[in-house]
Amino acid sequence: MFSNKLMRRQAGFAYLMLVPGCILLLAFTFYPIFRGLPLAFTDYSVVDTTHWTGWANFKRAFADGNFGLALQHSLFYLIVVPVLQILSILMAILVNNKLRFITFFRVAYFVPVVTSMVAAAIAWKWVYEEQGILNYFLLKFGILDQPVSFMVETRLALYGVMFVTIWKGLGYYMMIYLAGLQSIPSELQEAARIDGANWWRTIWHITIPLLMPFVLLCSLLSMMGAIQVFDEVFVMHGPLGDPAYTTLTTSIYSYKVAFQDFEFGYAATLGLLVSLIVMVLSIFMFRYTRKGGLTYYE
Amino acid sequence: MTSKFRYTALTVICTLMVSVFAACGSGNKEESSGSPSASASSSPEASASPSASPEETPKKDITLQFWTISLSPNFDDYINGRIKKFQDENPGITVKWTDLPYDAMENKLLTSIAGGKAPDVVNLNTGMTMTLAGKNALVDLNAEATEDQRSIYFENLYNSAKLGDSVYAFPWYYGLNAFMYNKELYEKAGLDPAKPPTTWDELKEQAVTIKQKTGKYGFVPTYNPPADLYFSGVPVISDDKKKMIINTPEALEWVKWNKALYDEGVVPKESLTADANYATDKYQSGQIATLTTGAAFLSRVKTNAKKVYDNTLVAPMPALKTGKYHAGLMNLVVPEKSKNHKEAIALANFMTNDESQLEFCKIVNILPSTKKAAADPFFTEAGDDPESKAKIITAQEAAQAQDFTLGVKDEGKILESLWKNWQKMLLGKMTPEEYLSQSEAAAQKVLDEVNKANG
Amino acid sequence: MSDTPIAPAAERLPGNRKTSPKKIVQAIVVYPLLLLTTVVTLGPFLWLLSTALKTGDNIYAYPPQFIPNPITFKNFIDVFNLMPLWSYIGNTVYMTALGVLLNIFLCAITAYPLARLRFPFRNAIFFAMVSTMILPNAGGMIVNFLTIQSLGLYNNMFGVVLPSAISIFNIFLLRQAFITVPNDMEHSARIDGAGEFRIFATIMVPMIRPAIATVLIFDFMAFWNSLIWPVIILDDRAKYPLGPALKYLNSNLAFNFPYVAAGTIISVIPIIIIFLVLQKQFINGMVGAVKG
Repeated sequence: MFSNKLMRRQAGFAYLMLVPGCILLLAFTFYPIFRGLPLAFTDYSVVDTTHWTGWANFKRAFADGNFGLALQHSLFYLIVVPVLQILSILMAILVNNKLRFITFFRVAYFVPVVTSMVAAAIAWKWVYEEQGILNYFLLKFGILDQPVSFMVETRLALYGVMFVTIWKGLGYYMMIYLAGLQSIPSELQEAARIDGANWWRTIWHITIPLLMPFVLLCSLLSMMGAIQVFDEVFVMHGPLGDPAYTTLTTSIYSYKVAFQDFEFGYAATLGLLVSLIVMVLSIFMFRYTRKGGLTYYE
Repeated sequence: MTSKFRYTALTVICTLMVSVFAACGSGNKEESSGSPSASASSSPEASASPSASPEETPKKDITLQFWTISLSPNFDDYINGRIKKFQDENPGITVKWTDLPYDAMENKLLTSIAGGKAPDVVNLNTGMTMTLAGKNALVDLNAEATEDQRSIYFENLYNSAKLGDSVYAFPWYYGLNAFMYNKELYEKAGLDPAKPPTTWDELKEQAVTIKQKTGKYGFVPTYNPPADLYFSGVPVISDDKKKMIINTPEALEWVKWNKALYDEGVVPKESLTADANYATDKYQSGQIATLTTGAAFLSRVKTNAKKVYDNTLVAPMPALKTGKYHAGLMNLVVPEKSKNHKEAIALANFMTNDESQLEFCKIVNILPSTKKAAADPFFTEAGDDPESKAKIITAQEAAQAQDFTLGVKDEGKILESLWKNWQKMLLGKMTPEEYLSQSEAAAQKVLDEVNKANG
Repeated sequence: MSDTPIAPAAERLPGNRKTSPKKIVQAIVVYPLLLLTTVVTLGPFLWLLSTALKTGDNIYAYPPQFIPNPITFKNFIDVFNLMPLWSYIGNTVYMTALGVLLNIFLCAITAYPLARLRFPFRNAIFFAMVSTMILPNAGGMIVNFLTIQSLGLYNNMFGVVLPSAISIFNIFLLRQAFITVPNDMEHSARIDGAGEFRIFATIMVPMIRPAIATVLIFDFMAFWNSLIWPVIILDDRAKYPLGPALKYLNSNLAFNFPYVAAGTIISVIPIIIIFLVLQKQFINGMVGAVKG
């Protein structure tokens, strides 16, 4: 193995390389978290004087019907996670082939990722409305006899937003999985094929297990994105979660509490509670994906 | 050899990092050496007027930060012109105008206040004004502005930002709804375009006819439940601000009327969440026969759908039971943390004075909040195009215009249940009776808490 | 579009040439699937594009006009006339270049030791970083604003870029890529006497080109599209990047949807170009290297 001297040299070099990044992380990531935590125990409003309120914010949160509703919707939103991941893995595998016109398809799948949410929301509203394009086709093909508004029908509104999330997320995760596919030595897949494994078996037994670190990363990201979904809900259904609060999510509610009611302290409390849930879910995911390759190959 | 290479590279990296931070540090000194009230303003800027006066009177050199919402780039010339005039009249004061995109205002305002960079004059709507006023973040104009400054406005518009004995904003511009309708669609439906509705019931009747004959919707209501109820003759709150009075016969009548309208499919399903943008889009695409929004939206129809615009007739908007119209005001406020209250109030007053407002109204279809400006012949000068007709009609409505506020702290929270349950009620998750009783109870509960907290 | 219709990797498969009917079947299944997905992903975007190319009366026509007739570039020209768009684009390019370069450099030098070097507290440092992805950051915007202000970076592009100059997500991604670089390359370099930095710069970084390309495109996108933070940090509108500047097209007193659509197209094009340039890099970019 390596000598002690080499080890020390390596450690010194490692710390040196870590310094610049760590300084920035400490300043702009750790410090705000550290400063933000105590806010949950205050009535901080930015503009007015601040008092310690102890557990009052937490008590309020547990009795707050709106927060309960928002939490329910946010947790329900998690169903986009598996859908997104499975579809984007399939898309990545599909697009990783050298087929004719594949560049076009890669771009086509990537376009939603880069379209601004504001413009996308206008487009999707136009799809979902009572007089929108989706109803136009559904009526034309006789699937519906009465137009349905996917914007105001309470049972459909949240699904409508979920679909936008999936639409916008597919290309993003596809990209990460593409990067992941590159790190799988192609010899392994070839070997499997030579052994007579079919396409499906190769994917399931070789590709997916080796993609696990990326599956973990992407699942974590989309899990947090789902629980804290904001942009698409905000631009499509406003700060109150129209219609009738059916699209109210925790982030939307926190935003309203912080920036419209100026109750930053309470918003911090809500943020803390949500992140506790995220933490539990993350631990779950680490377990399930066998730490997702966070252990070392060495 | 290799280690030499390594250390050179590392030195380069470190130097790079240090220089980045050094660059930051030096920038700091440069900026903060200026006037502490508005440290950033000393940097050369391009957005304000080109005539930024050179520092002739270094003694009284004040820079005022003036923030507006989404007026640029369409009104650049107007705002810059007014600022120049103000600066000319007030030597030693420089105004730095920042126009913020709509979504960024809340974020920027709060971070700036937290960072001690509070602006001096800010453009806010009444709701936001009241929330900030409730947090003691705004200057009380009854205490700090002069009688001359306060007396130029219509009293009821000025008082819409009232909390107790204090008033926290100068009213700026507002829009009123006119009844604008598509002549062609009216004719197609067999209706006489010369007979627009004069009451809400007629409005509904005509809408039903239009729906039956043309398959298009008659109109899109844009709901503001608390204000709608108030203008339908519901007191909403008692005079002593202790009791919510929402559940009245007038209220029930109005709520039931709307419920029926929605259930019968007279209005589009999206009315539930519709705003003026939605209504305008549908009107200009010819999918809806009438446009009942502010007259300013007509200019959009003009640019986007000339054919529809040319077919547009304008009539007064049927009033609600009280005969009054809801004026959604834009205000100018002075944050308490501004370091130049006097000068800031002067600027806010200047931007909303007769001359400024009249000039503004001439370039966009809005109404002034000052008495003299409203009396200007401009608002009665007839024109044949729909836009000038809309101007005259809304100016006539102005005498009956008023903004709606409760006049107590945390108004937004108190009224929340009225908003929240409105959609539930329309969607049939609640009866009109339940809507009123539950909303009243919920609002009363919050009001009690607010009154208790404020002694 | 693709220059080689048959993948070299597939070509190496034994028996591939025999089963060419199978390939045709595959194509019959694959292409409709690809096309169907394209309709969904590209649909709303194409609608924006067609709106941006329409003239006044056709924009709000109902039933909608799918292909603009006549096609006009007036909306694009108007947007450029309405605001100093080139200067906003210049600001955006400056901000994005600064942000992306800083980010890739910082994330690479942070990820490398965490992936390949042995030193005390390595795992602790990494887990501390990952945990911040989960922890709440309610006061983030205000605290970062105060920090930037005390660094004297208010109204300065560095202030806009610095808080996102390093990202845990990128560190994670690059670390994962560094881990999968085969050990034997490092060993042989060490035997040749290469120093730590040289191993990093000349062996490791080129090996993870696909991951760097991915990070680059994500960063480019994030900086290019950033909306709120630049407005908070920048005081002068003249310094704004494209995102917030285009928001002015969205105002209430003067809203013009074709302008918004045109603005969106303008802001999306550079990202698509970057994507087109880079996609060859990260797709199959490493197959040869591994063989090497």
